[in-house]
Amino acid sequence: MKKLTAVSLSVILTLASALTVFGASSNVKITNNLSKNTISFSYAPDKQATITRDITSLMTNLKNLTDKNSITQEIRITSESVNATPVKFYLRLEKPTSAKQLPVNLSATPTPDALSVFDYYNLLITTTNGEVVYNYKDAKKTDVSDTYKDIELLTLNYYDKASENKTYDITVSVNNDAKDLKKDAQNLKWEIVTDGYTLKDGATPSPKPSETPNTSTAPNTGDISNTPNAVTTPNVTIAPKEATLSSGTYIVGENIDSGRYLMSGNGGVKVYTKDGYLKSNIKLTTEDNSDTAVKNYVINLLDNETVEVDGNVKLEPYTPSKTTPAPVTTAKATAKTTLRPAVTPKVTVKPAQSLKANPKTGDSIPVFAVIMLAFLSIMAVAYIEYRKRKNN
Amino acid sequence: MIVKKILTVFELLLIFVFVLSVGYIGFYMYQSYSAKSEYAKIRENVLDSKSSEYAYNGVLYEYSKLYEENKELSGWLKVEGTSIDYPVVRTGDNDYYMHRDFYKSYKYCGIPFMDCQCKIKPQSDNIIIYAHNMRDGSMFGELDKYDEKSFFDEFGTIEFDTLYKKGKYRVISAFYTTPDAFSYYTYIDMDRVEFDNFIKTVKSKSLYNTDFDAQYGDKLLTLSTCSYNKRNERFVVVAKQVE
Repeated sequence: MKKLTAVSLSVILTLASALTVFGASSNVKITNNLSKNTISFSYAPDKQATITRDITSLMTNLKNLTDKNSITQEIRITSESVNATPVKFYLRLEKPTSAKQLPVNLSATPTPDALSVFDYYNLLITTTNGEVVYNYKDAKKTDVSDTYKDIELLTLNYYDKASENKTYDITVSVNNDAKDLKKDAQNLKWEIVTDGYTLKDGATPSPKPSETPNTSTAPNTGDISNTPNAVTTPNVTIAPKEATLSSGTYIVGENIDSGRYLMSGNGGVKVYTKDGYLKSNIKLTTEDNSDTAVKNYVINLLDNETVEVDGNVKLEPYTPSKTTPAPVTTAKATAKTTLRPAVTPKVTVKPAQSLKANPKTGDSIPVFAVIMLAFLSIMAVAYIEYRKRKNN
Repeated sequence: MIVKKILTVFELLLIFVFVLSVGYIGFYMYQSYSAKSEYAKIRENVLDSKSSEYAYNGVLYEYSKLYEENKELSGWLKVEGTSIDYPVVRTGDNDYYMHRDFYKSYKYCGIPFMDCQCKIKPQSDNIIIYAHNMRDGSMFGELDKYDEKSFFDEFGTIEFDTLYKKGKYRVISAFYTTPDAFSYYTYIDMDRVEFDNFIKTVKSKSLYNTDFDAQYGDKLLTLSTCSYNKRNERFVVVAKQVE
């Protein structure tokens, strides 16, 4: 009896230990600000399988979409990752099998090209900070043979955060060139796909330049990931220097090094992509508990992006192994630079306009001055005549 | 003797300056009078729309006759409470109509013209119209009445018909700026983020609170003219379509 009790106890304790060690799982929860539905799932952290979950039931506002308006849906993703293993997220649109492909001439391209059902929706995805994650205008056109389209969202749990959430505004409008595909587009499945971050040889996920997560709307530079149709991230290769920026406009690659920075300070910062789209709109403050601004913000600055500063902002090179950048303590430390705008601040990042873009529409004839001149000149003549006659 | 001669030369010079000045002012007044007469005649060419909505050439019936006279006609702008009641033209650049009238003849005051990048069919998100701030009050000479809230309260609606559609616009902002400080003239066709940024900026610059706002998808109308307060300054009125 004693032996039986001992064996049973051992088995129970062993099972309990195994559950503790192997049973801890990562969780993902997806919610919509308008719908009461929540979609959640768990997965074992040691399994790096791609997990797909249908969130079509959360995209409730799409039924109000017409070809004359756009709708915005707020989707919040919360990721709890065991061991803070980074998790990639994608928004996927997947075709129903009945989707037809009608060859439609694209007015923007010189040669006829077919539109797929994914081209029906024009998507703009931003975070609540105004950071543009995806813009259909920069996206590569999908092929009619594709069965799904992946849009890369931000990688969560990247900076040693075991729990992280992100809220996305997904703005949907209709591409009028693809109106014929409306019926099939309305049958598309909207899904969230998670993909464990690929680690090699057990290395910890410090941001090597080739693995910098996507935080910008950089155009698709080619499919280098192992997920088809994913939007990829340009590489950041230059080690950035610390800098202090006063109000003005700065060009990344010219005035500021490209790279990942921790921003802090007071004021507003707007970052525009090289094509002129607003990538980030950040309000910084040194105050605690501000409702409208943050104390610091991590951002990835790429070459030819434009940074507009209204205030005083500090840029410190950011590495994820530290929660705050190491303070500069030695005389030989990285040079600290206070930058003034190197160019006359330009306030537009739209493509260059001709000199006549904003015409000078003033009335340049100085009517009053000319009237005064006429009056004075005739008065002078009259005076001279008067003096002449007086002298005579 | 020499002094007398110098005085005589000086006198002649002064008379010459006087004649030039009078001629200059005469030219200006003639141009002003000529423009007023011409635009009054053009207004008479706006047809009575009661008989039909659209003409055979697809444009609104009342502007069809004018359209035959100048195919660069793109609409008609009217602002109650001001003398602004003019045709609006559009061509390939923002310079041609600076000193040309509706019939493309030289006229110092020019004619209100749409930014060359704007379209009326389909209509751009923001239609920008420029005109001279004439000292005699013509063209956009009275637009700066909108720098007073009392004027906005009484005349806050602007009528702008394109060739294809009538429209009424409610003023949401009036402000002074320079092209360098705020490139409002580049916001023509916008995505949501640009639109929201534009509205946020014009509202923040407005001289007064209009209690009107615009959402992405609304059509906007921007009227721009020079201001004489500062060098290179503009006075800008932004309105959103309500009808």
